[in-house]
Amino acid sequence: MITIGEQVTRDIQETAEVCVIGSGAGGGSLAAELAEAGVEVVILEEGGYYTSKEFSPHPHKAIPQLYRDAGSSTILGTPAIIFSEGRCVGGSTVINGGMCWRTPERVLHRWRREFGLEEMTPENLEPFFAKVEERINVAPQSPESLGKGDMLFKQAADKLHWLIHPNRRNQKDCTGEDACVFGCPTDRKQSVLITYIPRAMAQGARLYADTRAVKIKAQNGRATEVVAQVLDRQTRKKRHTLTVKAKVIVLAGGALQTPCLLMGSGLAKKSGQVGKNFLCHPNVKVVGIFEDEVRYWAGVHQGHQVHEFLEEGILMAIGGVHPALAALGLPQYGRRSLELMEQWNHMLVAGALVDDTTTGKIVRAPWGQPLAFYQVDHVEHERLIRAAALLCELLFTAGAKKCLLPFTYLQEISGMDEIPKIYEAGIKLSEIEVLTVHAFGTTRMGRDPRRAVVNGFGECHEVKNLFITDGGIIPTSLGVNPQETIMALATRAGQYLLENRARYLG
Amino acid sequence: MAQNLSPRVRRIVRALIEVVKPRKPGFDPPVEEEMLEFADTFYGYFPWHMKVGLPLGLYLLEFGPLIFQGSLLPFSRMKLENRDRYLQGWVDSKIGLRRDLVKGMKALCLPAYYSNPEVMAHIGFDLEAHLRKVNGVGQPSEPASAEACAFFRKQGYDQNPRIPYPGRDAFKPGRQAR
Repeated sequence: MITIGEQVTRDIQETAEVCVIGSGAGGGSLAAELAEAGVEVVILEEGGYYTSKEFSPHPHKAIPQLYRDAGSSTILGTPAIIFSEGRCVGGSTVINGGMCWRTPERVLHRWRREFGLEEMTPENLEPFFAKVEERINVAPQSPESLGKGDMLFKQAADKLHWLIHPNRRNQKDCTGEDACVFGCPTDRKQSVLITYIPRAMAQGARLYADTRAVKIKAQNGRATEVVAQVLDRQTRKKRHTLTVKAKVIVLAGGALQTPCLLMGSGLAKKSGQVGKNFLCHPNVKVVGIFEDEVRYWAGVHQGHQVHEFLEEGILMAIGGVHPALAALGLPQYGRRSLELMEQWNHMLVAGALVDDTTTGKIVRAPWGQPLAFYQVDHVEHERLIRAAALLCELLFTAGAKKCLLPFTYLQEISGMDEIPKIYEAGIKLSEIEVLTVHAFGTTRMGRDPRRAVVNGFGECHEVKNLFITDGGIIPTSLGVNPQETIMALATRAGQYLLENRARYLG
Repeated sequence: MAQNLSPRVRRIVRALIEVVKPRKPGFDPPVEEEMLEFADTFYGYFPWHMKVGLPLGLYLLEFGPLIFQGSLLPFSRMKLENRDRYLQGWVDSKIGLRRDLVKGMKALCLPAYYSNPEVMAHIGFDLEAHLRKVNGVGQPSEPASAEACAFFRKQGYDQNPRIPYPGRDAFKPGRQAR
């Protein structure tokens, strides 16, 4: 049963075997696995409950509805990084591009070597990845769903002999509507909202939307109760209080909110790692302008990824962006903005994410919200510049006549021979437009309680019945999209709980 | 409708919209009110620190000409061309904070403009027609792009409905490019 905020007319006290905070990749998947095994589950979700009938393909309606802070979150540092995450039932899986990649082996190797997570091998994780892929229908795109932008991208990568992969996405019969980031209007993207949440609900799980967890109470080293505020969806003001007494509490509110909640509750302090080690895959984008029409938005959001430079920490892709968002990323305004945007159908927006080589931190502000800090280091600085140069090489090979760059003072180049300018311009960090949609590391997992907040099953070292299953437990940069890793780790945590049911739920 | 921005801040935003709003001879749809309402709604969702920070930034924009340029008029009372020149100075500023503030202010105003049906039609963004086409509303569904579909069919994309996971080799050092 899903209860939305306005249906709650008084303070409520709930009891459950497991209370899950957050209904996205980590929370929704775990809740469903537990509920299907007969566990009594209550899910708390801060965002609203919206179905595809209520989604809008236009950002001025969709963003306030589905994104945290209406997409205005910023990671502080030089440069400030624009950060977007979902806040709705289904979490960021409702508004992501739907890319599904297993954790790369080189990353698992690092987890084993640096964090003592010996069990994190591809063989051990295989059943969890397979299960997740089945649950959310991970499949390649059909030729019918791919647009001309993808075709140009693929042709250029082949011409350059760069390794390019068709994306594996959680979708069923996707037609290439390119509305993923505002919620799939036809439910073809298999987000947690339409896969795991219905499964959990069918087994009797109870979900409270518009409900923000504000404190976890603990006694004798065990978490006992979640205190939450039921919010007015419009004003975000508290209407009522909801308390949930549970035998196990699972935090899955994301890598910014979860450490903030832990700090506010005074839990898991001993490791000194809560809120530290923040990783965010900084992104840059380049816009290619072509002589012929591309209409790249007429096709799936992201059909391919270039993995040629993964070892260098650079992943490239094209991505569907609404013109309203594309215009924001360009320095022009007024008439010049319109003159540029009149070439909209000739544009192809490509982006690159870079592996983190440094870490930031999350601080709990006096008003109870997380503040994220991340200072891009010199390695990432060089990577971002190289990533932009590589994107230009790809776009010019694809036939672009001009590339619009994410730099304040070098705003465009007009041919392959001008690419060296990108390296020679002495571009400072403050002059790069950086954004991201990924966040990890702030409650990282590891064997050593002095270096990690949770163990390999997501169980808090310090509070034994408190689990974390969101991106925060990922201890290192992934270099690829994280949703499948998060779901697989959450599924594994669920299995661990079920195997030890007597201990945790007895 | 409840207003999130104070009347004073709304006045600055309105003056900002006049500058930021794209217009050219022959195309100037009247979307100022939509832009202002969006800015107001959008602001309502901001986290606390941005709710404080944005008005401060707007006041800096408003009184900047008095402080930095010795102008006798605040931003909202300047002539449009002077406002434009002043804002461009912020866009090109060596101070990152000024540039970031302009980005924030654009984010407050432009999404409503480029989400307006008349504007979307003007730039050739007919999303509704695309959705009807690929979903076969009132007609047989068509590929997102016939050209791309033919290309990817030729590449064998429809021969292998479940392309296997690329596997470990894709992530190992020393892999040979194809």
